[in-house]
Amino acid sequence: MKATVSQSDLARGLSQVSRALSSRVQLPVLNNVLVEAVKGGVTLSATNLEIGIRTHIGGKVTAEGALTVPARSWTEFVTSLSGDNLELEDNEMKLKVKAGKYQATFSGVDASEFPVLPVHGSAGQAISSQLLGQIASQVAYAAATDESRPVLTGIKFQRSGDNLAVVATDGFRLSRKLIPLDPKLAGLITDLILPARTISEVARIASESKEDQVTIESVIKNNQVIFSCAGTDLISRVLEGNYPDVEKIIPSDLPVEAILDRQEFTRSLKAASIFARENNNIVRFKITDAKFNISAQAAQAGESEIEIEAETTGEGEIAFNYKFVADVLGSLTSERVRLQVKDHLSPGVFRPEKDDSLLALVMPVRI
Amino acid sequence: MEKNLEVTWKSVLAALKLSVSEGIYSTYLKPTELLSVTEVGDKKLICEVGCTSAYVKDTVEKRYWGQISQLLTNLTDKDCELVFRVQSRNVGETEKDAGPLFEEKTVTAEMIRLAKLKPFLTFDNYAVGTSNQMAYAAASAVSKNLGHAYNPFFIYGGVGVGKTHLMHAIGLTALSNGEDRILFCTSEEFTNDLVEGIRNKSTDRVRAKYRKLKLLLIDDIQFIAGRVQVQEEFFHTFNSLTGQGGQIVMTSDRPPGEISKLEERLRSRFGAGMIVDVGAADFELRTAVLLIKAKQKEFEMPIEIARLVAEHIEGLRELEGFLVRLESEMSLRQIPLSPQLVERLLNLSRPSFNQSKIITPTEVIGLVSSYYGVGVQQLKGDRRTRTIAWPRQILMHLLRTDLKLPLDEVGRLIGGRDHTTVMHADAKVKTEALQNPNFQSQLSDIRNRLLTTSGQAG
Repeated sequence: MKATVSQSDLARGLSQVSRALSSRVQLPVLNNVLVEAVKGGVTLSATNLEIGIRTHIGGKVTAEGALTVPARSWTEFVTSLSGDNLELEDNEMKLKVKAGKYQATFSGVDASEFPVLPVHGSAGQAISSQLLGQIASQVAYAAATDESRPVLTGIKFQRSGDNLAVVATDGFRLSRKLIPLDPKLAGLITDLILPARTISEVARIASESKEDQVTIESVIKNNQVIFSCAGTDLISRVLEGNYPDVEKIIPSDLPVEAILDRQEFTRSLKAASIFARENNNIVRFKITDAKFNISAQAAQAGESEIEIEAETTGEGEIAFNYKFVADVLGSLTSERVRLQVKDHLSPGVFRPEKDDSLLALVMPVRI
Repeated sequence: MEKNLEVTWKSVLAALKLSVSEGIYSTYLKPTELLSVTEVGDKKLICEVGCTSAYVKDTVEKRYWGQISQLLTNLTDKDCELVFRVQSRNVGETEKDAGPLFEEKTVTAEMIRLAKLKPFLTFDNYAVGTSNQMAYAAASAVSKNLGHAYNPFFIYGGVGVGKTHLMHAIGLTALSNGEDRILFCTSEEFTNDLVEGIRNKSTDRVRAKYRKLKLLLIDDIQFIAGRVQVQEEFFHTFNSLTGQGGQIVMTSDRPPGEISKLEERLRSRFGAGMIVDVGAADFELRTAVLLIKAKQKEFEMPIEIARLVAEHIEGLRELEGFLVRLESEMSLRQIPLSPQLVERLLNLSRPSFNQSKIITPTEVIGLVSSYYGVGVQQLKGDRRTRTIAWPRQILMHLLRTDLKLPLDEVGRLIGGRDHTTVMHADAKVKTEALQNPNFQSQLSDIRNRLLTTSGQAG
């Protein structure tokens, strides 16, 4: 292999594929980046077997070839260089990188050790970057991070009437967004569970590349999907398993309601959290006539009580883990939010004031 | 078969483990499993290997095909062909462990047993009439809003009027609303627990048991009266529970003010929430109760028969007893349900019933006179002091309702009174009977005596 690429392109490419690295892998080659010199440039790939990222950077290739190189040290070296052109050359499982007077040699591992990432087959369907961004910021946070219940680490896409319901839950809170179903996407995307991390990464790649659209393509026999955007591919595993039935736990009868200014709510929640932190993160909300009361107490530290103005219906009291509420508030962008409650044991429902397409459920804490 | 596959695959993996590095083994080989083995002809097997991901499949297929096939051949003594497939092992993960959001709030028999509740004493099975309407409404409010609506909630009333039923219903409703820190006990059990605790020096455990509750249901609280230490312990339990927002429900046969030897501090606390009384069931309510009980026993009872029974039996427990008797009579003697059968059984349980028709007004006047210690002439006279006027009104009520005499006739018998006076007296006694369970029992006592005296006379 012999190739010349620009330092900035390589640095950007490396930082992009590095997102697919995981510290938990046990196979040494998975800590490496696969460098392939092909016609017209260099392809970089990294994977943790859950997701893989592959990106192509343009350059001059005089000899084709492939090698895997330790990702971290190589990335660090490349980013510490100034914006010159870099020469890459391999020699007996070693990669020589040269930029002006800077030179380094990295011990690599043979490219055949590296898992084969699937390549594009069919054309795929376009999906809007903006939509992916919304799913990442409004839904993905509710997915489980702990691997003991694998399906819950995913985001579920399912048909709900004329809409596509995008859902994530970790069993304590849930977020659901309804989006109008694009018939072209319907077959590809309904009844699909993708890791929440996949969506976040795709949204990040899309926003960094400033592309309006991302294509999605399914590799059915491998149980994988490929997202592509501006020369970068993200290959993700599709999660298998029975996703819990979400529709039946969304309560319909919600007699108590408060509509609050989101920023004020967020500020007061933060203030209450000072004491809540010391007491299992519990904050109590009390809804009374035109008032919303947030309180938290800790046996050792003290207590706080904050009253904010609200538009209310009915009266009630409920307690939550403040972190879950903070996550919900962080995911909303509307000026005001609506909190609806059935009783102190049923999940509380949060929505943007004037938008019923987005909904978050949070399990209350018993008081 | 499944087990065999697992064992076979285990030994294949064990052999492979020796020849590869730890990283390769845990990344590529461990996430595989033997899905199925199909026999083709005599000497050939097709083994299907499941891999959790495409990467695993690619790598294993490429590098370990030969080795695996060789190992399987050695193990089975047949030629093994391999087929690889991407199939996650987690397929079929149950929804049960999906977290508290998805937990269904079903009330299990175990939960009911732990709370010491009786599963059939629900609000649905509770017949509501004028005598218990108030208590029912309050109880249902309490069950929906533990610790807030009325705390403590104190129910009193005579024997067999449904106090305990209401209490169980509160517990069961709270249970189905997802609350499981519920305990039903009699004051006797509370006492025994405490005594046991003192004896075993484990009062801490007794305290923990009662003070962590969200809903404590205590039956027949009047029995703690006079026991100093139990009252003291209950006092502290009471304070600690209500302090944490816990709900307390108590029943008694009389209001707190009338429980003698009850400490003043408890008396005042009992009255701090809501005190309701449950009166004796009236005829309509008894009919309804009887129908409900019959339905529970899957016993078809026409409403006429229910009416007939309710007319003659007053206590709710006796109603149930009668139902059992009726049922066994029917099944033992193989006779169908008929008004005649019911009447015969009613007569058996109350032999003097038939003769009630021949009670004379004089007998009634004589009985009321002796019952209240007021002379017959005084009853018929003009004096209107309460000690005389009240028995007189009761007398008019009895003549009117039990003997079914016309208003004028009653007036004539009691010293030539106007028929409006009789109407007023009748109405007054009826209201009092509804509002005051003690008076109600007094009234039925008089009626019983009427029947027995006339029985003896006949």
